[in-house]
Amino acid sequence: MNTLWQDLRYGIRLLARKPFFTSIVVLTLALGIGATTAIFSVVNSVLLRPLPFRNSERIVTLWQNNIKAGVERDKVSPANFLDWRDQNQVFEETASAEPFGFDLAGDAEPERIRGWLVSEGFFRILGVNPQHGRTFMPEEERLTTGQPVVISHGFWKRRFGSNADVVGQGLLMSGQTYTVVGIMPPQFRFPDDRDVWVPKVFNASDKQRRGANNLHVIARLKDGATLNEAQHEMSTIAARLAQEYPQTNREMGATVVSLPEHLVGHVRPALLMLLGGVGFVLLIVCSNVANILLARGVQRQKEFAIRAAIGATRKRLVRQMFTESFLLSLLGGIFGVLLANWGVNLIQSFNPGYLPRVQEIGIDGRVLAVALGVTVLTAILFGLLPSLQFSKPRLQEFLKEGGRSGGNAVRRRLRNLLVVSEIALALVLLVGTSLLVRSSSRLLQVDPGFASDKVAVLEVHVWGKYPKPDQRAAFFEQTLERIAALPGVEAAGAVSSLPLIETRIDIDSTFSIEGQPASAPDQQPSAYQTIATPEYFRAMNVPLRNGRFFTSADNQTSVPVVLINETMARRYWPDEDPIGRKVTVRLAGPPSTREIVGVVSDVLHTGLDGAPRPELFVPHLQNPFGSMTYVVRAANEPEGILSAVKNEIRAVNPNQAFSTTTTMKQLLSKSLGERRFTMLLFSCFAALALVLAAVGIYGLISFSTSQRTHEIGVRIALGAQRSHIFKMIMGEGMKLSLLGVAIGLAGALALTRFLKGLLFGVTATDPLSFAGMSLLIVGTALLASYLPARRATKMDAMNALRYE
Amino acid sequence: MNATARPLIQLENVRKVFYTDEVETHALSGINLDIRDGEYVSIAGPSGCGKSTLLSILGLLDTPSEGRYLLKDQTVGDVPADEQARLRNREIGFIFQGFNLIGDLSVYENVELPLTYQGVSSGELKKRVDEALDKVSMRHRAKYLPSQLSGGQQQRVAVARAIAGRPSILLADEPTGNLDSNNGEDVMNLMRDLHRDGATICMVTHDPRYAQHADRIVHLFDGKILKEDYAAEREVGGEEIDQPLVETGSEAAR
Repeated sequence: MNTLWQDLRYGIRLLARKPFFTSIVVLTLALGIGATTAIFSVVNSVLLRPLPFRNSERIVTLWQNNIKAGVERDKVSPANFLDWRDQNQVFEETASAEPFGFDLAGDAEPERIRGWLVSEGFFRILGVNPQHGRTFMPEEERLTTGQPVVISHGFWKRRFGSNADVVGQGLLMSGQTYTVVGIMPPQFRFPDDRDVWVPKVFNASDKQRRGANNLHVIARLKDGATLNEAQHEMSTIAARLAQEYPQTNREMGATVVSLPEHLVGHVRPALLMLLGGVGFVLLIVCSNVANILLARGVQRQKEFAIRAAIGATRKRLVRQMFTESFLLSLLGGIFGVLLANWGVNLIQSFNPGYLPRVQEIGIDGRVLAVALGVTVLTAILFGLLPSLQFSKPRLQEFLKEGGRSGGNAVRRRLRNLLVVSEIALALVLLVGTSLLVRSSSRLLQVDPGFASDKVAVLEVHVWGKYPKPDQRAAFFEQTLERIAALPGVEAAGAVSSLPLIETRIDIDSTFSIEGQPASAPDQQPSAYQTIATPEYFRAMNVPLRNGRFFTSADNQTSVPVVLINETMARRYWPDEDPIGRKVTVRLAGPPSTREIVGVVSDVLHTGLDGAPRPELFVPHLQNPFGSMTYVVRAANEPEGILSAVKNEIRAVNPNQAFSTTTTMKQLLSKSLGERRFTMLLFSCFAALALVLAAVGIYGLISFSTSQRTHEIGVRIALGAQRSHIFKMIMGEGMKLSLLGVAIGLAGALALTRFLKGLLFGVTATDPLSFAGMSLLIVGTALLASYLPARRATKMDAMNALRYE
Repeated sequence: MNATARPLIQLENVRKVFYTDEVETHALSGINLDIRDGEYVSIAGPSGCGKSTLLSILGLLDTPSEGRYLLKDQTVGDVPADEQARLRNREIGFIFQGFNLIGDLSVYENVELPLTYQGVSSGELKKRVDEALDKVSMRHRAKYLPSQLSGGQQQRVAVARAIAGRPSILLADEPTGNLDSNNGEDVMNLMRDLHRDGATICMVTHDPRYAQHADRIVHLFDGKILKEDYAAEREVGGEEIDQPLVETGSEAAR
C-alpha cells in the first residue's frame, strides 16, 4: 500500500512537471472518453432504460399490414380494430388511440390543441400513474357527454403554469366542456407528444369503417402468451376478415410489434452505428496516447534502467507505469464526463425530431459506471504496450551509453503499427461519413415535386365552427382572397394533405374507371385523395404536365372534376391520354363520377426518400373539407408574413386556432432530421479521427526524425541532397499511410454494409467514397509528414553528426 | 607521392569564426594548405586546435568564414547546398571515428548508399559494392547488420563505404579512435594499402604512431598551422618521432 502511494505521488509529480505533455494526453483522452460517454448516454436513455410503462415488454402495438401497398405497419381502421379486439384470445385488453384536434377556448388566446381519443382500457394497458389526479374510471370510458380529460405535463405547464388546482376544473374544447381529472408525468408522451387524452366511444358507423386507417392500437399480452402466438392469432383473424370483407381487407394482414421495438426499434441501427463509430475514435485515441507514451518512454529509458539497477522488479516497474497511465486516464475521464455532459446538452438542443425519449437523455449512474469502465479500459489499452516495453530495460546498454539509444526495432515497429491502425480506423469512419454525406446530398437533389422555399404553412380545423359544407367553402374562399391581397404574397392556396407534414390526412380509397369493366371488389384501383383549392398548385409550384389546373369555376354547380398525378396516369392509363376520362370516386356522401381535367407532377408526401404514390385531387369547392392547411408563397422570407396571414384569417373568424404554423423549408429540413443527426455526429467523429490520425502521423514522423538525426547527418556527409532526405522522411509517412489505407479499405468494405439502411442513392461500396477518402487520408498523412521532412532537410550536418 | 602533381585541394587564408553569446571563437585563423593528388596527409594537434573544423570545411560539411577553398581548381567554399552535397558524394569519402554506419541497413546497403545518391545503375552498383567490400575483406559479411560486427569490422565497412563512390579524396576523422590497438593497426594498414593503390587521404589523428603513416603531418595549434613534417624530413630527424605531437604543439606555442 505504501509503495502504491509512493507510485501515485511520483506519478502526480511527474505529470505536474510536464504540463504540456499532460495536457495534450488528457485532452486527447477527454475527447475520446467524452464522445464515447455522450453517445452511450443516448443509447442508455433511448435503448437501454426501461420504458415508463408497467412491464413494457408485455405491451404490444398492432398494425394493419397493407401487403398491396407494401406498408407493413399501417394504422388500423375502426371496424378492423373492433373485430380484432373482440375476436382475439391472447390479449388481456386491447385499446386504440385516434389523433384528434380541439379548439380550446377560455381566458387565454384561442388555441388549437392536439389530443388523443382513447378507447376503453388505454391507460390500464400502459400502467402509468398520473402525476396529479387520476386517469379514466371504467364508467367514464363509455360516456358520450360530460366527458373527462387527462392533460399532458407539457400542456399543464404551458397553459396552466403547473397549477395543480386545474384538476377538477372544466375545459371548453371545440364547444364542449370536459372535466380535467388528471395530469400525466413529464415523460409520458404516448402514442406521441400531444396535449390531452379524451375517452373514445365507438358508434354504429365506426363498426362499418374499414377504409379509413387512423387508429393506433395497443394491447397487453395475457400471462404466458408470447409475441409469436399473438402474431399467429392476429394473422388468422386478419385472414378471416380478408375473406369476409374482400373490398377493403384484401391483402390486409396484421402485424404485432412489441412496444419497445415500436418506440425505439427504428433508431437502434443508427445509434448502434454511432456507438461503433465513437468506439473507433476511442481506439484511435488509445493508439495515439500509447504512441506518445512509447516515444516518451524512450526518453525515460535511463530512469527505468536506474530503477531496475537499484532493485526494482519488472512487476514494480509495470505498476509504476500503469499508475501514471491510470492517473492520465482518470484525468481524461473526469474531463471526458464534463465534455459528455456538454455533448448531451448539445444533442438535446439540436433535438433531432426523430429521436425518441430525447428529453430523458442524461448522465445517470449507469453512464458514469460505463465512463469509469471506459476510463480503466483506456488506461489498460494505451498503458499496456509502453509498460511491457520499458519494464525490461537493457541495463548495461543504457547505463553505459547514458541512455542515448532509442532505436529499438520492436518499439519502432510497435509505434508504426499503432499509427497504421489509427489510419485504418480513421479511414473506415471517413468512408462511412462520406457515404452518409453523399446520401444526403443525393437526397437533396431529389425533386419533391414542389418548391419548398418561401412557402408559409398554417394548419386549421374548422369543422366545429363551420359545420355546413357551404360555410367551409365560403370561409376558405374569403380567407384565401384576403391572404392573396396581402403585400408580399405571390399565391395562396389550401390543401387537405400537405406533403411532409406529420398531421397530414392520408385517404387511400378505391375508385372505378368509366369505360373499363368493373374490377372484382378485391381488385379495384386505388389512389390517395387530396382536396385542394385552385391556387394550391401555384403556391407550391407543382408543375402541370397535361390539361389544366382547377379554377374557381370548378364548384358545386359545375361538372365534378379531378386532377391526377403522373404516377396515377402512368399506372391506369399507360398508353393513353387520361384527360377527359372519368372516374367514380367515393368521398363524403355517395360516390360521384368526375372528369379528369389535368395531370400534375408527382409530389413526395412521406419524405425525399419516399416513393410517389397514385394521387387524385378534388377541388375544395366541390368537397369543402374542414381540416386544411394554408400554403402561402411569399415574395421574400415566409416567416415574415405568418402573422399577417393569421390576422387575415382571424378577420374572418376571430377565434380561429392554428395547430401548425411553419414553413415548407422547415418541414423539409425536419424530414431530413434523422439522416442529418447521424451524418453530423459521424462527421464529427470522422473529423476527430482524421485530426487524431494526422497528429499521430506527425508525432511519429517527428519523433522518428529526431531519433534519426545522427543518421541524417551521416547521409548528408555521404552526399545525400536535401531532396534525398525529404523523400526519405516523406516516404516513411507514405509507407505507413498506404499500409493503413489498405487495411482501412478492407475494414470499410466489411463494415459499411451495416450502413445500408441509412444510405440513399449510393451503394455501401461507393467507389467515389472509398477512393476520395483514401486520397484525403493519404494527403493528410503527407501533410503531417511534410513538416518533419522539411525540418530534416534544414538540419546542419555538423550538428547532426554530433547529435547523440 | 608525386611532388609535382597538381593540388587537388587548395585552402587560401581560410578562417572560421564561431559566434556564441557575443563571444567570437576563432577556430581557424588564416589556414593555407594544399593537398596534392595521391598525397597522404595527417592533421595532428591537441583537442580544440581546430582539426575537426578543418576537416569539416575540407569535407564541405561547413563553410569558411573567410578565405577560398578550391577543389580541383574550382571554388567550392560558397556553392549552394545541393551542389555541395553533389561534390561531397562524388569527390569526398568520409571515415568517422564512430564508424557512423546506419544501424537499420545491412553492410551491403550501407556501402551502396553513396552510390544510390550518385544514381549508379543497379548492375554497376553491385559490382562496385562487391569491389569495395573485397578491398576491405568484408564481402562475406555483406548481409550482416552493423550491430553484428566487431568495431574493427565496422570500421572496415565504413572504409568500404567511403571508397565505393570512387572519391577524389578520403577524409578520415580519428579512424582508430574507437578501436583497440590491434584493430587500429589493421585499419591503418588498410589505409596505407589504399594510399598505395593511389588514394588521396587526409586523416585527423592525435596518435603520433598513426600520424607517421602519412606522407606529411600538418601540425595545427589554436587554429593555425604550426609546422608541416614531411616523411623524408622525419627520416632525417628521427629523434622527434617518439614525442607526442600534442606536446610538440604545446611546446611550440610556449
